[in-house]
Amino acid sequence: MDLVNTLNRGFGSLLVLVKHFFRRLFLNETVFFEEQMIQKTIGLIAILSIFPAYIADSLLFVYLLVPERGTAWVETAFFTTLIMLLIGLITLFEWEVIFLDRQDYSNLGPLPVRPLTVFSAKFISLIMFIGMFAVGINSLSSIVFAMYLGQSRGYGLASAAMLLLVHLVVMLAAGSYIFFALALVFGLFNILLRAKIFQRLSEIIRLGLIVAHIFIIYFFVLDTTWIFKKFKDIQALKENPTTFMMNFPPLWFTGLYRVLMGSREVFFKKLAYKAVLALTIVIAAYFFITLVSYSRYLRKVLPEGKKHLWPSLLRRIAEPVLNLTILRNQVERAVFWFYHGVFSRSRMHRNRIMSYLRGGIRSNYDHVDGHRKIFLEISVGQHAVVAVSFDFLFAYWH
Amino acid sequence: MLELKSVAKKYGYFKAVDAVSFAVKPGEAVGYLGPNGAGKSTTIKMIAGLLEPTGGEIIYQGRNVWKNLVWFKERLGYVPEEPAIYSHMSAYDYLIMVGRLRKIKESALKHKIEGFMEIFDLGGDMHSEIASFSKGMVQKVLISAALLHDPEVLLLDEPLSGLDVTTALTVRELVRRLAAEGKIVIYSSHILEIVEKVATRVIILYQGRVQADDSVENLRQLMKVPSLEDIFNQLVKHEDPGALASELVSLMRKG
Repeated sequence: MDLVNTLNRGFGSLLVLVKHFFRRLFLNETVFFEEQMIQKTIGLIAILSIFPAYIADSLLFVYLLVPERGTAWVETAFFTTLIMLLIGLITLFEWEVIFLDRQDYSNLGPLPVRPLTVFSAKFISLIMFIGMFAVGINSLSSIVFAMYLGQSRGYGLASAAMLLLVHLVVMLAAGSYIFFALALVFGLFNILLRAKIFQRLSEIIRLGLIVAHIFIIYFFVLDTTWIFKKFKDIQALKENPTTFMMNFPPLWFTGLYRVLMGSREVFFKKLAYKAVLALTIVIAAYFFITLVSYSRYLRKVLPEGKKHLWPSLLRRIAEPVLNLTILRNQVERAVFWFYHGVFSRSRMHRNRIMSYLRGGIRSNYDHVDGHRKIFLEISVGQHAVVAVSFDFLFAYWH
Repeated sequence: MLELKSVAKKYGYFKAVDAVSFAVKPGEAVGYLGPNGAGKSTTIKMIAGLLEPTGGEIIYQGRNVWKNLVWFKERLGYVPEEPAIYSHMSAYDYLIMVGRLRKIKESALKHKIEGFMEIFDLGGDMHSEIASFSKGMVQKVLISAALLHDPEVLLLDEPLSGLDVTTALTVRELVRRLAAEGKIVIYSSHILEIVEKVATRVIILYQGRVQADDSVENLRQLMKVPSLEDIFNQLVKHEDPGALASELVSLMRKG
């Protein structure tokens, strides 16, 4: 009975949090639909759905004239690429709210909710978000696909409905793949980079990816024929698949599309297998990265997590001695301890100073060894000046 | 009873909280005092289940809090020091979410929220987004969120920060009333006058360690000083505030 109660309570919290996280995807610093959120989202999806429908129509129109005999996979691959780009672009706009953040920690931390419930709710909300966009923007194109390919094969209404469903499922899978793959990039940067570098680099990478996505999508619209010709070339490669071809994600989902449509060809089966595997891997990796990057993120942002530096015993002894002897004022002390900090924490600076010293010592050794003297006699006009060897001086000056 | 047994929090070599032990009985309002960086908020966060202790145990009603976090949080109300609240939500939506996650019945929840908002003078603003709120208004929302489910244990970390005088007095009176009703209240602050009026007992923390733990009256008699401020100064301040102020003034005028 206790277990049932716990599950019921957990499920209740999950629903509340899914709703909250889903809402937060529309109410954040990047996207802010404060008023009429539902209407604006529907409007956006409606606008976005027209473009893929138009592309699908221009791609498949030919099958009204010539019956499709297993060649439409090229158009499907082309179309899947476009959908993945669109979902990728939407993901990049939601870059900041893909992972749980400090606000989530501060607000949900004191509440009686299990961390697993929070993570699961976040994951479900993301799937819902992607599902809504993937299905929404493919609502018209799925009809176009079902209509042209169904008619070409002489399918009945039920089969056409099945085709429509397959189209939506595959586009959802492809969309989820690109969404979680991009989320992984974000999570990996979060794990690997230091807080300051991460904050700066994250924005640059995000901007770069948005520009790249927009550019490629624009290219799709601007010169569909040229791109389509490129895709047409892959028809010939079907018999002789290249490594690139087998590792091009939109083709994996094209394979899945064909297999779900009933194809038994080994080529498509291999691609479909890769699609399912890749999707599973990115989702599992997202879960893992979320857990790791969340705790690392918190360590970086929480005031308690800041590194507390405790002066070493050597410094505690050396500091008063140095202050009494050579570091006589604040400026000298500040400069000395600044360089001390730089050299003690930066391997690059340590290596550099060591290389200077090494070069200088070596050069002096050669000089003294060769001339047997440190001082040189230099002629300046008619005067002879005794000076310290330039080698000796410049050896230390790089 | 809420009990801390040699609770510690270390960051590398730095001991933010060092072997802190005390127990709070139901009906007690304990003032948790200390200068900045003494480890007050760290202790409060460890009790609230936000920071895991690196040593010791926190026990409530015989159960280890960190092994029964959800169970303990169901009984806990917490007002944080830093209000990192969801600023895109309205106060009403935020409290609805908190109430639902705390399993408060829907019919009672809406009534409670409206009541809290009216008392805190936020009735007209409760549907506005929190981003547009002042610090004091945010604090009122956080206090409401902490009290909504009638908690057994109340952790207040600088709860009056940014509040207007009327609300501050209301909260002060509320803390007294809740303690009288048998709740456990831990009130962390560095405003000594308020703690003196609210708390039945004070714990003074300095450099992560407990320096004193007794009622204000006993401490006064023990240390032969007239106020909590003097007790605090004797225990944690080793410099003369007047001399420090003079030094600051001379530094300002230098150059």
